[in-house]
Amino acid sequence: MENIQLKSKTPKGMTDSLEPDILYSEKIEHLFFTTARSYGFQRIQTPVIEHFEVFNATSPLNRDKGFWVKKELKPAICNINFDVNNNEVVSIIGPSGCGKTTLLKIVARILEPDSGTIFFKGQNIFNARIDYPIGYVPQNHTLLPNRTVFQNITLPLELKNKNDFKFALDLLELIGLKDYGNHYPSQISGGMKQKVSIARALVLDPELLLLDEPFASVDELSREKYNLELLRLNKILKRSIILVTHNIEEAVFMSNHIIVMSDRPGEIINQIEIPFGQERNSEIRTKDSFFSLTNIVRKLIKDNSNE
Amino acid sequence: MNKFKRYILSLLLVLSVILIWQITENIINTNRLANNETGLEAFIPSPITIVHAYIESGDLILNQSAYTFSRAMVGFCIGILSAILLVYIFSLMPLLRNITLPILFGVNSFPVVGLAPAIVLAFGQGSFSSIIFISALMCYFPTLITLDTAFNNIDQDVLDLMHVMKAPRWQIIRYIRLPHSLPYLFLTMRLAIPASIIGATMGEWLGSKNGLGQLITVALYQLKPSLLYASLFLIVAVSILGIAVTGLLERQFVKWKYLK
Repeated sequence: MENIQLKSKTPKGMTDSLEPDILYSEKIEHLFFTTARSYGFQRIQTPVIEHFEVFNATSPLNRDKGFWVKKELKPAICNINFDVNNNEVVSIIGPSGCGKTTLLKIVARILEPDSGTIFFKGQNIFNARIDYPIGYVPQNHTLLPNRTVFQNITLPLELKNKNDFKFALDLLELIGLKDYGNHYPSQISGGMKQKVSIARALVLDPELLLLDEPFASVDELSREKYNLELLRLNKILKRSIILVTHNIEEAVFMSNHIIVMSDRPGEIINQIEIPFGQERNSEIRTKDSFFSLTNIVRKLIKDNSNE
Repeated sequence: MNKFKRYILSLLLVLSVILIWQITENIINTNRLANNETGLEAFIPSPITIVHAYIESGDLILNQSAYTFSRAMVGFCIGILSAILLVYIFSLMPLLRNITLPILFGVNSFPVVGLAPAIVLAFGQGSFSSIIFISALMCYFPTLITLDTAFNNIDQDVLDLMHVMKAPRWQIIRYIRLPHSLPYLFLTMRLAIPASIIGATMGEWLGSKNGLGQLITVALYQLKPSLLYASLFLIVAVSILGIAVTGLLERQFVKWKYLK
């Protein structure tokens, strides 16, 4: 089953160290490392998020409707407690409507939980005006249609009055869209838009990247490609990632750690460590352990969903 | 079918309607005159008579229209700009918006036909200010409501993202709300151009010494329907011209919307 390739497309003597379905050439890979070094990225030594506790966060749906619709206040998520270590990809997975996005929005400080706290490097993110460098990628790509791809990536810099666009240029090259910098979002594909969205979240060099179903609108094969590209990118940037997804394969492939949530109100059913290490390629997807892990996660979700 | 062909076909359609009008008019007119009745030309002029009116009283129509269109233009600018300003203030102060907007909707329900005489009374009959006030009023509310809707119809994800980036309100307006509402601004401008001319004409109609509105009144009382129709068609032509110019401006300012 492994290494099925079209013979005509694989020249003889080519080493199989690079995946055939990756966009990156070795040259770009070299660029990855030089860029990373030149910006002084290094592993963060302390855990990024520790003692993550969220209890009874009310659903944003109910909260925003005004004061006369308070009768239906069910908690959206409760008894959430997990840690995110540095340079770790943590996936949150669960049935739809279980509060994954709510949880991510709480981590992004968009919503405030009714009770509970989040500690970022030892500081409560809701209390003090702490420096909380995060990059947030919403479920929809949210690129501004009136700005080009490059202008979209530099938007956070413009908002902060920073005029050094060198890193933005490098990011554009890292995501493989160097030739598309002057295109408008309506001129590129859905997957490309998501990559631009991720680059925009990374341009301020956050320590924690929050991804809300980044490749949900992309077909299965492209999704695998984009997953791999994202891992490659993070191999260089070494950020911690919280990834919300409803795709079990994606979660197992991408993460070091999977958090499985139950149906509404979302609670953590189980936390699964993924033993594949930091180096990953698409061969992992063909391993028996990969199948058994996906089956475990699938069974956990099925057993705990209301339907 | 390309654009040029479509325009040619539209033009042909208009020309054929005019032709049918002329022929029908001729037939009915001769019939009525043969029966010793008043000619139809006294009530509904034929296209040729209207053209004659342009030739005979061209100077008069042009002079009067200069008054009307300059007033309409001033009214248009005041109406649009003040609506933009108010929407901007509203988005800086959401509480003010929530309090004021229902009241403004109520004010919008005043029939302008009834409100116009009141304005004329307040500002003085035939005064420049009363006419541009009515004209501005005609385009103010449509612009305000359209722009306010556009300003507040932003994808929640985008707003969340700006929240995460800690963008203050003015930055959200500058980078998100304004670009997002630009197409809507051009849309509402297309509606406001005819509205502003209607407003100016109405103001003049209620008592002014000059302007197309006054010319229409005079033409009505002097039983010169061809002059009346000539004024009306001039208004239509200028409106269409204004809308075309707006379209060109839109293509210039909202380029990204027309990408392929």
